[in-house]
Amino acid sequence: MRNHKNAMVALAFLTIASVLLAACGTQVVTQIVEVTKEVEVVQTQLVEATTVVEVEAASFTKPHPLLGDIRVRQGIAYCTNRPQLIASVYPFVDAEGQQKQLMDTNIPRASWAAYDGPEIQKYPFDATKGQALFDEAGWTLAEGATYRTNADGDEMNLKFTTTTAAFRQTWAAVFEKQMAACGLRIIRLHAPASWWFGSTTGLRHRDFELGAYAWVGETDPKGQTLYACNQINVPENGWAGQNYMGWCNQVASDAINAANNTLVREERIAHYKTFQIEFAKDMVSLPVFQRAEGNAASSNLVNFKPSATEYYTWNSYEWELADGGDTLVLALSQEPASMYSLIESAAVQRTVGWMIFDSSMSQYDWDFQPAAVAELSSVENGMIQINEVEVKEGDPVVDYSGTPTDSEGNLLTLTSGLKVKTSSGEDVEFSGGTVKMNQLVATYEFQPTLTWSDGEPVKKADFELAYKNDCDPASGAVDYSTCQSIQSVDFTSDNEYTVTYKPGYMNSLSFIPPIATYPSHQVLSDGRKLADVPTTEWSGLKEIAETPLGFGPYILTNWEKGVKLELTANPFYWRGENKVKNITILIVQDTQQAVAQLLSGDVDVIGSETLGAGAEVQTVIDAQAAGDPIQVLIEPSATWEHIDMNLFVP
Amino acid sequence: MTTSTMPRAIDLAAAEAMPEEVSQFRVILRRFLRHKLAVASLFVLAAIVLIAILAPVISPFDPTDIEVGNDFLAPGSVGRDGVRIHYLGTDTIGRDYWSRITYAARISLTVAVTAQVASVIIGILVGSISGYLGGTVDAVVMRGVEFMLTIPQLPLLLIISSLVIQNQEAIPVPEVLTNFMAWLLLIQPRDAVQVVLIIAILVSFGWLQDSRLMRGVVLSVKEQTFTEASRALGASDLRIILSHMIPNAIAPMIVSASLGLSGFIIYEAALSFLGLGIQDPTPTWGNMLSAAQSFMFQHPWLPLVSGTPIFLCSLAFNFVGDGVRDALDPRLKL
Amino acid sequence: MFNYLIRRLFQMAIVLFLSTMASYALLNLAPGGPLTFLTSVQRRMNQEDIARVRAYFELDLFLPVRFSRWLTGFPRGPITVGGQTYFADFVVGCRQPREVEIRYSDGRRELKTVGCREGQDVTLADLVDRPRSSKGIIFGDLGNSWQITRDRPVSAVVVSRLPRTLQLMMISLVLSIIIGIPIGVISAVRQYSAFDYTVTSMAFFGSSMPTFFFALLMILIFSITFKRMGWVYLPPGNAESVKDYVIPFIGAVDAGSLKDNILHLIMPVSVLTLFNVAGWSRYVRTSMLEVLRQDYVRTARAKGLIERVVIAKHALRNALIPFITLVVFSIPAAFGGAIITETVFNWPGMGRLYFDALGRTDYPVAMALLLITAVLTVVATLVCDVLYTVVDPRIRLS
Repeated sequence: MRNHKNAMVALAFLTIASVLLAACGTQVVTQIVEVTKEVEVVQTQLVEATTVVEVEAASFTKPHPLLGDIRVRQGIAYCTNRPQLIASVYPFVDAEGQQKQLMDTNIPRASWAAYDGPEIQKYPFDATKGQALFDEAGWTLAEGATYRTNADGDEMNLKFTTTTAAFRQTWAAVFEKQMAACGLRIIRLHAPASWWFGSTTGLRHRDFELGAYAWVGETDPKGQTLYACNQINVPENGWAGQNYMGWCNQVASDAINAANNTLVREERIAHYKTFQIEFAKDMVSLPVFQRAEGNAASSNLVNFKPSATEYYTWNSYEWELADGGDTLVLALSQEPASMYSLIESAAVQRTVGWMIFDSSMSQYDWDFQPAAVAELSSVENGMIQINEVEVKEGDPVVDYSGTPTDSEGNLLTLTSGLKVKTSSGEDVEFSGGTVKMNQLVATYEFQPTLTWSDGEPVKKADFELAYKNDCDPASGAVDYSTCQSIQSVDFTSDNEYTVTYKPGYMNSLSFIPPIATYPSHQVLSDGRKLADVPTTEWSGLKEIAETPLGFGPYILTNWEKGVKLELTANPFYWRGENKVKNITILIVQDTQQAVAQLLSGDVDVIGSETLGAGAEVQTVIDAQAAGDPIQVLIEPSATWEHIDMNLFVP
Repeated sequence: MTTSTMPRAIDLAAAEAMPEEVSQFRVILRRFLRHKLAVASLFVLAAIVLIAILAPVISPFDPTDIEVGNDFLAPGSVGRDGVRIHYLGTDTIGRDYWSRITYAARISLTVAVTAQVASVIIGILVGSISGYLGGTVDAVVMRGVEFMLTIPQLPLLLIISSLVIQNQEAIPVPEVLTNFMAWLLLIQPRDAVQVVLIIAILVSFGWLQDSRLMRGVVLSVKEQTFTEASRALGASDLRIILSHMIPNAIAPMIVSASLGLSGFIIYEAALSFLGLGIQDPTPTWGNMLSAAQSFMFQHPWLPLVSGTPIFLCSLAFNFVGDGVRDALDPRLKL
Repeated sequence: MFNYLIRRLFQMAIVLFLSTMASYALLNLAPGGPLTFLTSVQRRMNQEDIARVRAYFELDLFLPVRFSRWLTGFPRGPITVGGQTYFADFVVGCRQPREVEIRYSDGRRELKTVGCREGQDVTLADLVDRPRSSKGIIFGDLGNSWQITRDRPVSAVVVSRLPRTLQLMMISLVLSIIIGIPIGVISAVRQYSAFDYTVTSMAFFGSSMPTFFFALLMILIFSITFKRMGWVYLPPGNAESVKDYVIPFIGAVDAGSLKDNILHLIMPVSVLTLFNVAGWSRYVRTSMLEVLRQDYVRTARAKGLIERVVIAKHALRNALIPFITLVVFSIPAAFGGAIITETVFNWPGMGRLYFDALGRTDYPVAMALLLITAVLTVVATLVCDVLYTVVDPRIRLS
């Protein structure tokens, strides 16, 4: 152990040396000239003989020498044998399962929005075609050479960045081979996730050529923040935005914006179709596969129904133990940081949260179902109304893409030059006078019998408190775009409220209640009422973070830090009594350890967030085959791996 | 490698040397041969080195050839061409395990030996200077070492990895060095940069232990009467260091180096585990073991096979070091 | 002696300060931080959102200012003397850094952060109503956690993990001493005997195996395989079970009982002990061999003392002197826990906490643990040096 310590220590030397080197290097250069906002080359007579100009950092404007060429991108796609990649990572999935994991567009096949028509350009493995495209792009294979070169003799190579995760190392190795077979050299970099997903490194600063990572697929296909033109992250917008490829295809951008700003499913399907055709054609991001994920549980557990798009605890109120037992043990790979949902959104928190708080709706099998809401609000049932309103200069609105703020975070009002969507569905630039826009008025109705776990019924003041707290900029939440899109809220009864959104806000997900509930009656240990506590203190409150009141099936009674969370059935649960009286959640960080505990009977359930998709899945499958009393459910997950191609360089 | 060839080297030199030295060498050799496990280990090491040298000849497959679908073949399975045999089976993407192990031997051994030799040299220099001069120099150096011991290591690794990733092209690694490594290890020069960097990383912490050890020896020898005697006779500082300090330090240094060698093989594995070591597809025992450990429960032979050479080498280095130590120490059981 | 101690204490303070500063800088300069996974889900964020989150974690303050606030709790705002405020406009941070692109004449381009965007400076006056500032480490406030127990005190987490770590580490420490010393002595006395060879092999075996590999192997054999075979098996991990269970031959075990705890301790303790015994017995053997050939031992033998007395009374005592260092130095390590062993066996100790804190970039927690280890290490060094003078009069402290 001590040796180990020394080891790392000495790394310090190297670091300091390289930091100094790096620092000195650039310092020398920047000191030469400091011209700001001028794109003019200044000649200098200094030793370095390099002239330097500093300009305000702006868009990535220089097309990538290789990836800027669509033929190279499509060539890469044709040279990729995706079934082989899947087979390398998931040997336990059969050929039929592999087909289910393949994707041709950004939308998993199981989703209602996936389009699979002939207009979608597909890239089945075809090395000849890929090589022909490379040739066409000017990258030819010299006699006897392994890698292609262009007319200048530059070797065709691309950096391929991804994380150090074992399964990525595996499929990246195969991918490297596949590209080499086509004459493209892949230089693999497996970076720590903290660098790759860091706030000032890796993806965020578009520091990659080919980059592989995963998007967590969601019930709703969304995609607006990933592919719209105004979501490209560049220095001038402070690197905000998730369009890491720098892809701006106006047709696709308009389609993805439109698809996310209407409540009519037919329209959404049509827009998504347009988008997917463009996405597949441009080949800016190669979908590799949907991950396969496993959930495992003791066969003693009845009604265990995990789903790709929902946390497996969503139906814990239905769970039952076949042997009539009353205690169930779950394993979680990570401890939730806090039960305060506003500031902690990790999957583990949501998994526990489902049991304590319930959720307004469940997202089983790629669609929404009502849970704590009485029914899903929709235009059809009249709970969502679309009113035409006349908007004049200075009125609060959201822009054509549904964004309530400008890139600097200021709330938008109707001013000349702002692009908005009119009630007839056109995008126009405002130039004075008035404009007719659509305004959503949505009513959300909750189950009338919701009762806090201390017996107090849920009431109007609870919703009011949530609106006040969660939309407070000091609350610590990350994303206020929904709050910022709300014009007014009318709390009509103890289980119902109506939200009037700003004109132009037509978000497809407006049927989801935007306002949560907090027990406004709760009295804290220091005698204050929760409703009176300033929002900045909330995240540190034991009553909010550790022993929260909820109206879900279970009550969190004891939380032994780093070890376990103990839950007991909520006697006031609105759906009636649970069959399983006690649930203990063990924190088991190591997946192999979790599997060992499942096999030894210490743990009854391992969800996909803990079991993952690695070698351990095979272990549980084998154990099941060997007769161990466990059930294993494997399915294509909503999370999909893909290779992004950076179209522009700084 | 160095340890295994040393007796031979001395042997050659001894043949032409004075009779007195010959007899002294014989004494040492005789003492070494009494340590049966050390002798056996020497053979094991020789075999491993031979395997490493002959890697291209004795491995039937290219170590980076992938055969998806032929994954996790059992040891002894016949390859896809129906002729060649996967002696140790295949890994998760159908690469021949035996071929990878043999090529990895070249890399892992080179990394460990180079790193150890460099660490010992730096350690001896720093330790003897610090210990011999004493006073302020000693205090500063030792507090410095102490200070470095309290710095966190993992975040350092992260920083380094990110620096390496961002500046892989900018870090000035002499081309001669990478080309030599690439030639020696049969890998691409681009991958050899990583090897050189890893060696540098290992050395940068490796010398700490050695310098402390050296300082300890110097301090104790300094107090001995024979040192005082030669100082009284007017011997210079350098001469005292060379003729008294260094010879006295050889035995503990060899023990430390032999333990260190196994340590370096294991650290290389740890670095690979953090995604910082030499990366796939370049095989090393370390990255093979850390990749195989997740298959522990289904294919236990994978971690066993990649763990065995680490274990064997480490064990052999330990025994040889033990034997050499016993043999070299002139006052032991005379 | 007194002067020496004063001087050493002073040096210790400097070393500690420097090491804390270095750790703090390194942690904060490393990629990662609480914003890392902010955009790993689809989410609309603008630069104001990013700036707000940075400010929430005080990342908008300059590093030295942050360090000073962490260490001492200052500055907390402008300095007020006699109703007059000074330095209210003093810039201590930047909400949104300005980035420029450097274009070289050879076509290379590079992005660099230089200075702050206009109007985005953070001044001392802005610090007044920051809710998250701690009182400062030197006043005993370890601050609030970023991730592990978000926004709640670090000290609570650390205290909750300490007992389990101490239990595990102390048991294995004691066992290692009890087993390691006799093995080392016997293999020195009977050099090259079958016992020596066996024990040496076992010792090297222990230090030649990567811990994670060995630990996993134990779980595979003693938990999974043994249970399947219907033999006596051991629980694979945790400190205690949740459910009562029955083990063949041992019988029913109540969850949370002493028996339960002991069963859970066996594997992690064995791994740690084997690792320690490996190194320590070698250490004892070496120094024992060293001592056995000293003149005074020969003299003792020549006087006709029984071999056992020679070894126990004369040789062993002296041989154990350097061993003290080793034991003293393993005490700070005991508080730090064993990262790999605790993780593989899911032992809720400090090592796992540290690993977790780094993995989730919870730097306040990581810093607290580093600080504790650094203080103990420095103290241990001093204790060792002083102990040396006590046991070996030839060494002088000056």
